[in-house]
Amino acid sequence: MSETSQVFGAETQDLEGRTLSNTQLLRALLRKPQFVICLVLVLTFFLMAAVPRLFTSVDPHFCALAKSAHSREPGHPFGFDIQGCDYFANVIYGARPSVLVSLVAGIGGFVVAGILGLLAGYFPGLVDTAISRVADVLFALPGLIALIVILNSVPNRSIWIIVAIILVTGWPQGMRVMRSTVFSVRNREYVLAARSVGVPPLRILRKHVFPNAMAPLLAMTTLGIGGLIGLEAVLTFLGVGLQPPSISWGSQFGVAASYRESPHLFLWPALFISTMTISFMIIGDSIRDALDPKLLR
Amino acid sequence: MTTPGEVLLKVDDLTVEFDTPHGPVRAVDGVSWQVRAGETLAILGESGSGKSVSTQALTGILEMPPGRIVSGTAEYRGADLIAMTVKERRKIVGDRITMVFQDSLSALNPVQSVGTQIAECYRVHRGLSKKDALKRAAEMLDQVRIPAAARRVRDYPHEFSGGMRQRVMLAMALALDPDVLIADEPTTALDVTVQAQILELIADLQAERDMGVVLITHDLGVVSDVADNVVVMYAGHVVERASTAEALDHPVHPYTEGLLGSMPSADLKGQELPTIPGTPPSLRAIPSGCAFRTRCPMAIDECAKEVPPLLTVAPGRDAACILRTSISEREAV
Amino acid sequence: MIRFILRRILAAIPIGLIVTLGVFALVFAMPGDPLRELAGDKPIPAAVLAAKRAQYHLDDPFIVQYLLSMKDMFTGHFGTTFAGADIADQLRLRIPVTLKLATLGLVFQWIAGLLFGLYAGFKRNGVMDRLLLLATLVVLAVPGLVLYFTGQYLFGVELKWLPVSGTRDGWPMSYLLPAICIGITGFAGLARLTRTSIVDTANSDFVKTARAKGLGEQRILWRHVLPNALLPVVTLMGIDFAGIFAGAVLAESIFNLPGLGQFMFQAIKLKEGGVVVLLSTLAFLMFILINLAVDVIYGAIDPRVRNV
Repeated sequence: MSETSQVFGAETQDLEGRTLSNTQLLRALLRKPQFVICLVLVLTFFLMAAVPRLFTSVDPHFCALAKSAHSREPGHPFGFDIQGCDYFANVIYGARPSVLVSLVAGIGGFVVAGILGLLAGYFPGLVDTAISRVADVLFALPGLIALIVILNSVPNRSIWIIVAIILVTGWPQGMRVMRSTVFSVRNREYVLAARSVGVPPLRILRKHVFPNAMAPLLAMTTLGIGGLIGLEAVLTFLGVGLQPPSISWGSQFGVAASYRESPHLFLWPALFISTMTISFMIIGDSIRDALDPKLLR
Repeated sequence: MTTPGEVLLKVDDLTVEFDTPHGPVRAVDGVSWQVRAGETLAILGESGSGKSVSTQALTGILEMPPGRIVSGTAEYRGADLIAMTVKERRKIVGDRITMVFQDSLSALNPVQSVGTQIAECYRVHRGLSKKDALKRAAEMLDQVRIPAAARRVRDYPHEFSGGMRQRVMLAMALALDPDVLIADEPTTALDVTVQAQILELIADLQAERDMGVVLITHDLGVVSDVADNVVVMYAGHVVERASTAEALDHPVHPYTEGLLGSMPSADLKGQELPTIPGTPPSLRAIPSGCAFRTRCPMAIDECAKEVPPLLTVAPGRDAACILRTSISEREAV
Repeated sequence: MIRFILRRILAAIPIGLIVTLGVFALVFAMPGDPLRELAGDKPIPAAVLAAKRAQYHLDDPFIVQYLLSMKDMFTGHFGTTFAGADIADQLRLRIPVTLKLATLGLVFQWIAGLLFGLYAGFKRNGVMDRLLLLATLVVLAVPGLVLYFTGQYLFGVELKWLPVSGTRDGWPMSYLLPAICIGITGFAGLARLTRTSIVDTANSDFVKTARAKGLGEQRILWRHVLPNALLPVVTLMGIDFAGIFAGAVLAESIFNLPGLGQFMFQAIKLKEGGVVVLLSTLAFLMFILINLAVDVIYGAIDPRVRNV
């Protein structure tokens, strides 16, 4: 999971901070059918997470043990889970944690990595050293192990704590990408010009450096969101994510793992989570292609 | 070996197109020139004028597709390089015709020592043993006046300065004593002083070998320093062909005239430097008729009608301008 | 070269100290008394409890606990787990399991990634290339968890080609399925990077020079394109290698393989602070070693980073 983002980091590193106006970008993207389809799918998932009642009127916690693990019947298209609850409602309600983690950790990661990368790249010396050394430390343990160790020491894990910890351990990579692009941008003529007429540093960063250096990090983030969806499920499956009463695709996998004779328990959340990740990936891929200066010509 | 004055490379009516998402684009249109033994021919033009594309097409190093040779021949001592199979051409390109490129840092393989890269010529084309090839490579480095050549043969491209690296490129191109050297903007990336040294070195080595040199450049100064003849290109067309001295003294085509006029010189001190108004046309939207007419100070309505043919205005002098060529023809009658 | 290696090792020492200290702090900041939790509802004799507390230095101040644990670790006194198993024995049993799984997984991943990447890079824009790009996108997009379960269900439960879980069938049968799953999740990234890198390199100027030298396409490919195109690939292979131990946690718990990942996981559940710190330190050392190896190899194949 962290490997995939590594790949994209490497693949996107050669993107220059070429600016393409936002409307141009949007128009180029909307011309691609795969982008539009995936956008619609992702928005559907967002809606599912925000207002699950729109999709099912059944209470996911209303269970009839007699129907434990029954397969589908009219009114219950996905069948029932081990407790005999309607599985369709459970899968719908399970979208929320995944969507939240992917969105909040994705956007938050972009902001945190972006700001730290900007600072490290633009202020070499003390600021850069401090940020880079902390990143080295966080980098020194394989991501999943660090997450497991940290999450396990937290007693009552809510979705927000999980997001926070993913953010705390996950920023170094994006920071490095941002830092290296800022390095290449900071001595460009327009930055030097702004500096020479006395524009304050923070304004230079905001108005001149950031817009021209954000493309690689943005591409990496959009492609990485797919991995974050899976990450929530992995953590919950391993028992260091969300705790029992909350419904999530990860916990559904955990249950499905012990009841192999009822494959539908695995099939539905797997289908949903894969559709969502693939949609995110294709959106990310389309944005990357649209930003790629080699394809601009 | 070459006989003095022999025509070594003769390009005739070469046309190259690129396939783009917006349809084919003609980068080189009906270009002809030739280079003789001992002669330096300069191909002068702005970027996008097709000057590099023409040589890359005839040596077969152009990416094809998207590039495509539409028509034309390029004869090396009578054998057409374009009609040849790739295998046959490889015996000539890289052996009898070699090339030097502009950016020596990216034009040399960064993970091979310069010695290995030079030696590769001897290994592939002459079948020498590794040891002999390396020895010859060191000799070559010495010939292009790289100090301590025997030691530096093991160094990597990034360990050389820009000028020294361009000498390495030269050593590689001249390793097999080629008949024709095509130098594609060999000095553009260098400081002025280093530029002069490299040009001088090329001239010296050329004199030793009686080699034909095709020098591609956008720098009129370079042309006047070293070229015997010059071919001026604009938007894929040859607009003027002449001996350097004549072209510089009495340019026929208004474009050449404009280029000369925009050269800084002592006479113009204190005055505003004249420039050619406008920018070179995008190859996707070349004006009808004469491509230069939109920037030409003396353009007339006739210019838009058809592409002016390259006509002889005097012995050894051709130009493509309906105004100038027809006038001079009339005068000649 | 030796100076370079020494410098890297020296630089790793403070990072290692911070990492182990951090892990130690986190582990011992965990809620609950580890011993009581382990015992559950059963009353434990006070004497046993006291002995255990002494063994794990649980009554000492935090920093002393840390230093004593580090000392024990580096002198090879790993002690026993709370349940009484000898940790050294556990390591002896479990390290081979993880190593076998990781090696086999890496072999699958590298072979598949390089083969597909090279093929797609050489024949770019062909039918196979397009299919491959699509396939790798799907593989990258399907979460590892789903892929592992699907693989287990399809080849283990349904088709019965390979054992579903455990190590009863020994080497290599028991390891094939999890290793293939690791290989599939990892190969896509490698294949895509290899392809991109080859395509980029094939467009570079020095390839043009090589062509102008009259070299054959095969020679250009093997002597000029590949050595340059593989530089970023080597880096990614190193990252993969270092990351595979994290992936092992997941694979070992899904396929129930008694390796280090599973050990780590159980230790966290049981609040075995010592074991968690020990395994984290092992992971860290491994990580440093692999990165060092990658840098050395990189230096050997890329002259530009030597003497830096």
